[in-house]
Amino acid sequence: MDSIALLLGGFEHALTLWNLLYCLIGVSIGMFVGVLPGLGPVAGTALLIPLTFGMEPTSAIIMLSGIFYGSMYGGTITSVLINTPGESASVITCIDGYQMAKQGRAGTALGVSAIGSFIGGVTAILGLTFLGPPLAEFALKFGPPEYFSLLLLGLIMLVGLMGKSVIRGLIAACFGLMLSLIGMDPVSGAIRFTFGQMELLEGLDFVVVAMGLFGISEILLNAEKHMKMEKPSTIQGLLPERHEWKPTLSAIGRGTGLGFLIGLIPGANSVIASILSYSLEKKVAKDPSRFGKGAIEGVAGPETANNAHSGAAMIPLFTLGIPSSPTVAVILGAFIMHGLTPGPALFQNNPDFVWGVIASMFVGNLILLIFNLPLARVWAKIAMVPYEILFPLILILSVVGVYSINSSLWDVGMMILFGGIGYLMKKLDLPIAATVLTFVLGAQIESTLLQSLATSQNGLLIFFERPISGVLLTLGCVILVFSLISGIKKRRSTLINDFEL
Amino acid sequence: MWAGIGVSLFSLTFLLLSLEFSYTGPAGPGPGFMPIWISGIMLVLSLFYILESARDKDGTGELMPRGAALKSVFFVLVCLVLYLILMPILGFIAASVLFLFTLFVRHYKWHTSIGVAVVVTFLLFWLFGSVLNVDLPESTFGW
Repeated sequence: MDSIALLLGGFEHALTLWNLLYCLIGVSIGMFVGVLPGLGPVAGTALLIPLTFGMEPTSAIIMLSGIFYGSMYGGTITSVLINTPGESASVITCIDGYQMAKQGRAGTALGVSAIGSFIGGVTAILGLTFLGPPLAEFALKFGPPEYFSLLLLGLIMLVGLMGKSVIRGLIAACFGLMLSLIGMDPVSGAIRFTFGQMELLEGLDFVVVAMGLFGISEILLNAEKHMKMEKPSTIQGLLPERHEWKPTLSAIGRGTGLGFLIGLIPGANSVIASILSYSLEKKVAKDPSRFGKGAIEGVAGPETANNAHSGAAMIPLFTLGIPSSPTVAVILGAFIMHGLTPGPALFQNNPDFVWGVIASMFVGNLILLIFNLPLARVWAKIAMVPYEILFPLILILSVVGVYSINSSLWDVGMMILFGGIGYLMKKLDLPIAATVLTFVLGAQIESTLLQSLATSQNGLLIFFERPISGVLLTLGCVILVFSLISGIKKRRSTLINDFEL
Repeated sequence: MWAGIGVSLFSLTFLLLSLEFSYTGPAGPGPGFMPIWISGIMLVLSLFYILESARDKDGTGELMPRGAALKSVFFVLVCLVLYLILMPILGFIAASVLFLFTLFVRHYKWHTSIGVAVVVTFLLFWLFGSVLNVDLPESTFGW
């Protein structure tokens, strides 16, 4: 019951005027990012990191995580009203949500997803509240070999689950690792790969790389196509009919469980959660033919699942320091920039911070419920802002944002360079998430590997001599082999490929 | 295919550069350990990648945009680079107005574009310059 007392302390922190304001700003931006089809949560969080520089770490993370889970709510609105997903986790909602809108039931679709999202989100945060501390305590026993194995397992899962080919995933991961090696080596002091540039001495800045790879590349990608908007349907009545409550609530329950479990797996992003939830709903339904024609479960399940996922994804971040999706990787980068080391020690060393952020997520979900039930119409209007106005604004904001970090035009240039690289990577199906993940974790991967090897008598065998790390690594090998085999047999589902963000 | 060759060249360069660092340090592996392994693995992977894309006929050629789409991607990139080059010369305000105007004018009337560009620039100048205390680049004339 310690958790409850600590959580109440966290509320004290989260409910200060400023933190409430940052939470409100965060979830509003999240809604905005979610509603806009051209901008996903990863790009949104990456582009806004510079604005958090002057803030206290707690406020900064409150705002950034608000963007993350806020966008999961927002994406639904455009999926239902104009059949265009605002972010990729809501792709599946288009199927039945848009059909419901065509039948004049847009309000119900939005109402159900808002309620489901709230239940899913809050349940996942409760999970973090009660599972977080014991998990962190367990992870405190980890030494360098265990950590290295865990990091490797996370990366393998990410590579195995995302993108078209395992080989491309591994290349992207190696690329990220190479980038992380640039600069001065903290152990030996050796200067690596700076090509004589003073600016590279301290390594590449995470924000610069993330903003380029995720943000700028997204805009370049969007520049290819013409964005045309349909007129949104009108919204009437937000609640389902009486006989629909039971199936809706059980769909929400299943979505919560599924999304939560998938959130815990490193590498499985919210798109996977919502897609799996949709197929689960279709399987358990008495009459599967209703799906695709406006089945309410087909909206409630996936929308709940992606919110439960975004809450649960915070658990591995807070307890192990391992991001489970690209957006969480960006938030992890923000942790490091604010001088916090994500991982098991966080609960002990920075309890105010941890519990403040957790409490703020409850508050944020409540704000989002209000945003989405009575105010859904307002957000639907915002989705109609033409992209031609928006993208120059996003571009200039990111340029000024990156510049403001170190007042350096060099950083701006690097961001543009990585924007070009990111664009090419998206075109070539090289998963950017893998690059950014290894880039963030690179220093940790190298130091844990070197420390383990330095203490080992049998070289690489140390990873298999210790039980926890042995199990983790064996698991990793099994997954790698399976995904390679499925790649050769061409059985990888094409569905997941398309929605990397 | 070309991308695969690009990747292998990249990893080869880094592999050669990595050889400069000592493989072993005073206590176990040294600063050269990770770079050599990673770039080596990447080189091997890139060979597989080339094989994979050679077998897969409908590969990258289809993926790259052509014509108008390619042009607008390049247009945005060139605008960004020019903006970066012009900022220290013209100063933040003039460069930003110019940058925004060029991007807007393709879709809107010129007077609307100028209006929006000026308003946005001054808003950003105020937000970053005065509120967040960032030293934005100035031209030789001091603005």
